Amino acid sequence: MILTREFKLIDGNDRKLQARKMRENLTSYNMDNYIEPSFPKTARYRSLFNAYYITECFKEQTKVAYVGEVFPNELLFAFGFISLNFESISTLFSQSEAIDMCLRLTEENYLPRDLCSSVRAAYGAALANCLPRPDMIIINNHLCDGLSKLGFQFSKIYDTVYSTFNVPLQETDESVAYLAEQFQHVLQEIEQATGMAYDDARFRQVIALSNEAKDYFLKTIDIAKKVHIPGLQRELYEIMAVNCWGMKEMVKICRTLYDETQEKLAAGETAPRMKRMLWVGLAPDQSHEMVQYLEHKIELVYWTTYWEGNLMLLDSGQTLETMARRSISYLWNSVRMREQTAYVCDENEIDCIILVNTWGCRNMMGLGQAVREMALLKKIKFLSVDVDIRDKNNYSFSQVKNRIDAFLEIL
Amino acid sequence: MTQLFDSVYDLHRSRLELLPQLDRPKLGFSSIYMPEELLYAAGIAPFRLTGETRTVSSEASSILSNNFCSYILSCFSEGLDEVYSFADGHVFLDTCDMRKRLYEVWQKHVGGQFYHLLELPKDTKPASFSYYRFQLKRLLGDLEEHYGVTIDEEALRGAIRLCNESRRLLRTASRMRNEGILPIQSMQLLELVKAGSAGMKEEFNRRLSAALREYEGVEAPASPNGCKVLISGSYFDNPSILEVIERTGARIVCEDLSTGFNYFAGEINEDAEDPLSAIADYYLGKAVSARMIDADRRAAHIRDLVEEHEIDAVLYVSLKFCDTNLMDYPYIRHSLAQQGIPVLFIESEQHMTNIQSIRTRIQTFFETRIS
Ligand code: SF4
Ligand code: SF4
Repeated sequence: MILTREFKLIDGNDRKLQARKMRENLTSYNMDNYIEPSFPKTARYRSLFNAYYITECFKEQTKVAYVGEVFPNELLFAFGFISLNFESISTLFSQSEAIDMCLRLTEENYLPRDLCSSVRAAYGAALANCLPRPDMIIINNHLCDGLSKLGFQFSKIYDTVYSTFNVPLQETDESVAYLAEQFQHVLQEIEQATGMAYDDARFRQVIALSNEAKDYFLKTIDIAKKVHIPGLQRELYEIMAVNCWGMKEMVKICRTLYDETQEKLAAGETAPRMKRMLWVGLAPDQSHEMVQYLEHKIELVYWTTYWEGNLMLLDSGQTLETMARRSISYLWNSVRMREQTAYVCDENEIDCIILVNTWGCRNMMGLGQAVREMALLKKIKFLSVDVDIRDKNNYSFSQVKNRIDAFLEIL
Repeated sequence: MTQLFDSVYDLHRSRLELLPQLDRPKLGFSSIYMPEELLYAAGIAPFRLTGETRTVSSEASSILSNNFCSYILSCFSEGLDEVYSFADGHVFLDTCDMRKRLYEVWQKHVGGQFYHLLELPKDTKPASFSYYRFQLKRLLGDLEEHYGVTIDEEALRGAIRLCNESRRLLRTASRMRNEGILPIQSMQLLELVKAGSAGMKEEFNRRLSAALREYEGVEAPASPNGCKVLISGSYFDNPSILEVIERTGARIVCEDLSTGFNYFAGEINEDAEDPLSAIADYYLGKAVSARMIDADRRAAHIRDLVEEHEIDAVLYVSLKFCDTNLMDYPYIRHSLAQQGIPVLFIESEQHMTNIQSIRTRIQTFFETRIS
């Protein structure tokens, strides 16, 4: 079914309709694998925040921007925007049966199926008109070619203004200055798109909130590295994936997690140390069969939580410059991959690594060698599996499970 | 007369024998956005990797992934097989994710003395032009240091003139082909382009201008019939597909490809005050490939070509797994539909010799459009 006219989504402006369609399509949400949260207060705040966030997105007066997963959202929050990222949209839909419909729609609308299913799923959700109409789209080269092209495609089907910036590969003084200048330009483009004037005091407030939340996050990370508290690594990963640094709710979530962690420590609610496995690659939601299976047998540590950019505080004197350094750090290459996974392994005393190659993710597949080499050097056991957490056609759990079982036996 | 053209093709066909004989350093590159001018100005022979001499090896696929485009895997297979052992090294560009990964594995597994990764921004904002110029300056600095040479403005201007001359000659060849004056078809035009990027530009210019001179004054035949075709997409040089199209009676008149028009489009301003800025302006300015974020520029570029060549149909070719071209397809298809131009989409592999599965689609599509 063709869902666009003149390459514009039919009824793509109607947030009420979009909210209804999202509700209808997500009715098949997979609750079978519901997991009792280990950090109930944090999980509750996080869920409430997510629900509030999604509800706000569909309100007519809310300003919504679509961005990539590691976009410096502080730039948008300073203007009162809510941001949605393409990868989270894919994750949300892949937890429900609606994912198959999303993927089918992309093919019917000429998007070839040899593309990664994360990109296809987000495009399919838009084609199904389940997403709130954006007021702006900000596109850059994170994390991959597919995502930057997807941003452009979104701007067309929603007939929305977009702003672009280009993250340089190398971190040098010149590249940082170049990116900081582009951020300045993005701020001006947001001003133009919204008619709102940039308010420096508001921006500083957002940066202070971002750092405050990050501070709690880092303190909790320090504990997670040293002791095994069941569910903590996952909770840290979930919070990192929310990527709303700069919103006051994020401070609350991070502070709550820190407090709950301290309470558990005080109550001696730590568990004996299990073998630690580093998960490298796109991670699915916690109800996914692979995560469920592994978490019963091993402590999973997610590499992205510990990625340098996620551990950085912003310098309030040189905000755009530190933001630029943070953004550059997110551009994957083999040196960064080797160094940063080595850092996580050392800090967390990792026993083994699982490299999860998402079908169609050329980046991860091309960089896998770097992780393998690092593992070899450190004598850490390494397993690489090919999966597709969105498109069932590209993956079979039973095959992956056999490989995981054999691997765990060696351990 | 065709012998003269054979001598041009020979620069490509025999490049692996000719290049080692050149008394100057050789550097490979894989993207046409690599400013050859800088390397010629440094006294280096820059040659393009074509991935033609090897099919995808299992070693290449296991190091990268068999989920990579076949052009990258074939080039890497060539590198692993030491096809380019005569070269000092390579200059890579970050034109797509797979090329970035190729740069990394090449350094590690193929070896060489000189490596450089040149960044080409994905947008064309003023800050990106300045940054790209800065990138070119870095490359110049690295070349000067490694080879102990000084690359002055005069050398750059000379190299600009040399490369512009190749562009003019290729444009003339393409025009004369379309007018029916030159007895060459699409595959030969692609071969001319390959010869032009084989690291021997002075010789290429000499041979091609001699070949074209032979056809000066030849009357253009009455304009031939046949559906006029434009090809757009990823790296493409598949003779079997071109043959199937041409056998239907369709005429390929524009190759909007890195192996075609996009290589020789436009010129660098030879009189610019700052030659390096002129080079930056040219390369980033002409970057209309799928790797750029703004597909509107690409769509407008294709629409202009369609109008200029009075195109009847477009073949959109993407190598399997070429994310940027696959992503662009729905939008480009729509843009051409607005112009009333039908599009045939083909996903292929670089060394696909058995094209049975797509032959009928191609034949049906073009035969129904033959007037
Ligand atoms: S999984 Fe890989 S290819 Fe897919 S969207 Fe993420 S980074 Fe891009
Ligand atoms: S064909 Fe596509 S994927 Fe392959 S090198 Fe070219 S742009 Fe990259």
